[in-house]
Amino acid sequence: MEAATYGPGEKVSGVVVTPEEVQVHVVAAYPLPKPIPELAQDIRERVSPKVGSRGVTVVVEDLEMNDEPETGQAVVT
Amino acid sequence: MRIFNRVVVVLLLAGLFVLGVFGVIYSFDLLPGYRLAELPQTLGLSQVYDGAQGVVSDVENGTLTEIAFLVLVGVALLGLILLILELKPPTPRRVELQKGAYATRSAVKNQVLAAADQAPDAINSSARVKARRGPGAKIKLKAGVRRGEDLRAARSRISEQVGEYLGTAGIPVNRLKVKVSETDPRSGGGSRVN
Repeated sequence: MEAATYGPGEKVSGVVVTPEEVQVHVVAAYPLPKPIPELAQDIRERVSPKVGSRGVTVVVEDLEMNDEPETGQAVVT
Repeated sequence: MRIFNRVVVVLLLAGLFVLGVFGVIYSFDLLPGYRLAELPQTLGLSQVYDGAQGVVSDVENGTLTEIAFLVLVGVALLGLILLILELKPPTPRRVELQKGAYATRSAVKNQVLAAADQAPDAINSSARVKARRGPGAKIKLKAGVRRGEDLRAARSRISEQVGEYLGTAGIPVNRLKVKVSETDPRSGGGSRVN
């Protein structure tokens, strides 16, 4: 099941908005610069100010090996 | 359990619907010649009625056969088990890492297999990951090791490797069970298990 939010004329992949919370689904790139809970905390801190009173939940869908030099990104699925 | 519940509810509702239709027809004399007292016979339930009456009479008189008693106890136990299963909250689908952060079971499984692959003892491995209510995952890992290896030592090393790997990634482990078995890398079969 794909995590996405459907808006007028567009689909936002990797983000699910409910009345109570906003879910952000990510694929983390390996090697990780920091443990996953800390990455999730970073995402929560960035997203929280923009979603009002809704809670923010981060879901790591997968970890992928990244061959590119820039590593440790969290990619929205 | 969800499928079982749906089947039971569908059968129950279908039965109620049929009974309701017959009840309306018989109660309001919509079709001439149909009497409410004849409903059990029309539905072919008269034998069931007689059987049920017989069992109830036996219960009242305390003359139940041993088999009937065992069946009643079994039904009561089954009902209790189903009730407990129904009241039990469902197992979560995702592994909780901390409050507000989750990982899918497949993501955790991939990490477990990656960790096992890095262990020098493990030749091939498979894993099952279950989420639990609360942080941490329940992990069952099966790993193959070469013939002649010390299985206990190999299991300990693989377990340590997986625990360390997941700890570095920040994936909390509630329970890690590692099962190792001797495997011939050429055939993939195993014999001795620990």
